[in-house]
Amino acid sequence: MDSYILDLGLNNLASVSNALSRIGRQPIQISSGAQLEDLSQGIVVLPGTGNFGAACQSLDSRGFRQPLLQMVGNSNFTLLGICLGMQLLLDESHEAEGRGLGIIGGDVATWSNSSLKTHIGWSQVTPVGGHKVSPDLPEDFYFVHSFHCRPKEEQSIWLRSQFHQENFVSGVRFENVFGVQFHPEKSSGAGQRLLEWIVRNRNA
Amino acid sequence: MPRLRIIPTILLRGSTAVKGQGFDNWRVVGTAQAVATLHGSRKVDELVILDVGASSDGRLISPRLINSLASRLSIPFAVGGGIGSVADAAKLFEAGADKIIIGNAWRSNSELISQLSNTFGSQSVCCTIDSISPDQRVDSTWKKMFGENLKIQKAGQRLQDFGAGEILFNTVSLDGKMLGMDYEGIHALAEAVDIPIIASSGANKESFALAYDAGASAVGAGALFQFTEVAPSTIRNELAAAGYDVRQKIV
Repeated sequence: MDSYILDLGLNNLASVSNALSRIGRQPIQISSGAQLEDLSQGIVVLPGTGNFGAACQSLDSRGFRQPLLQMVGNSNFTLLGICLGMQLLLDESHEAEGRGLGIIGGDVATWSNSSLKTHIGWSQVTPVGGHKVSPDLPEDFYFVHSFHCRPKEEQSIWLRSQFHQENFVSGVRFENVFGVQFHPEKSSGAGQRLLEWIVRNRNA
Repeated sequence: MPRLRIIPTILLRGSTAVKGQGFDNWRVVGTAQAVATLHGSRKVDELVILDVGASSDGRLISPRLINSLASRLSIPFAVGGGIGSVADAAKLFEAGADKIIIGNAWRSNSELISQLSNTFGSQSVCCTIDSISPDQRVDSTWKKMFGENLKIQKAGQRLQDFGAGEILFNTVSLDGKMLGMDYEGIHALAEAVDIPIIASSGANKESFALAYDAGASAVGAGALFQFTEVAPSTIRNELAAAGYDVRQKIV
């Protein structure tokens, strides 16, 4: 199974690329919608750090939006959003104006306790009942984010984590689409195991 | 709260890893690649990589070296050495660094911190405070530059106000000796700021629990992990057994 990384023009893709290489999936960078439309199968990773608004614009200006939406439910593809890439799967964000992909209904918000800012560091990730998950979980993963996803549908919630008093959604899943708020590419063995699990169990 | 962190500190001069005492007396411990790869494989939480010769030589820690380290590491790492502008920082992030450490430049140009934090996010901007000693808790570099005393608490508040996301707190007189850290200094600084503190200088086996108790979010150790038999996993297991919230189940 081939792997592809979407280049939104916002950040360095090297860490994600290295992580996919480590699990034997030499990735190819995709920088236009035309390239994306040519694919017939594979794992497509939406990586990201940066601003939600800028990323939404990039989805349109690079022509990624339609080909990505066509992949939803097509079992030849697995779509994985990381950090901002996960947030892009939802409808909208409090961070900035912009239209997300809307694959997962809901929005992206700041912490309800406004004195909390960025959640940075290692925190535990716990699976939510009802979904098939890696037997390795719960495990600790590395997080860097100030906003978190609030999916409307309970069924799309895949993983949860805790930051101070706030219990938040750290993973979403809808059919062949996965989103994680943490950075598997910076999470050492735990990250590598999760990526491998997603590749192996994408149709499960 | 995220987990309390254990962070090996790797000091470089160019592409050579070195270790010193009191910010001086450098000796060579290996190539940067070998030392970073070794520490990265010991399942630590993060790495701090500083080129201690960069500022004085008027150069930037090598982005090419950082790029090569990034391909070997699957944990976050912070790099510092001679960063004086947003363009310098951009080169290092582009090379794969997760955070940058501003060791000198914030003192002569505090605007730089806000520029960096607005451009890359405050979570990726760490600044150092170099306390002279537990008897004289003022920033040593500030004193050298301006001939004035700047208390570590004031320095911390200044960094936080300008948008730093984290502080690397050193004590020059304790550096490299493994005789323990300035826990009161850590406590005073932690009381003065809300941003996380990486406590550094003097760490030995007992220091981790004491530094966390004092308010540190992370402990940086150089000599301890470089020159002794003490492994990060030993420290981690002892902390976990004592009820500290460290990352566990690391395979």
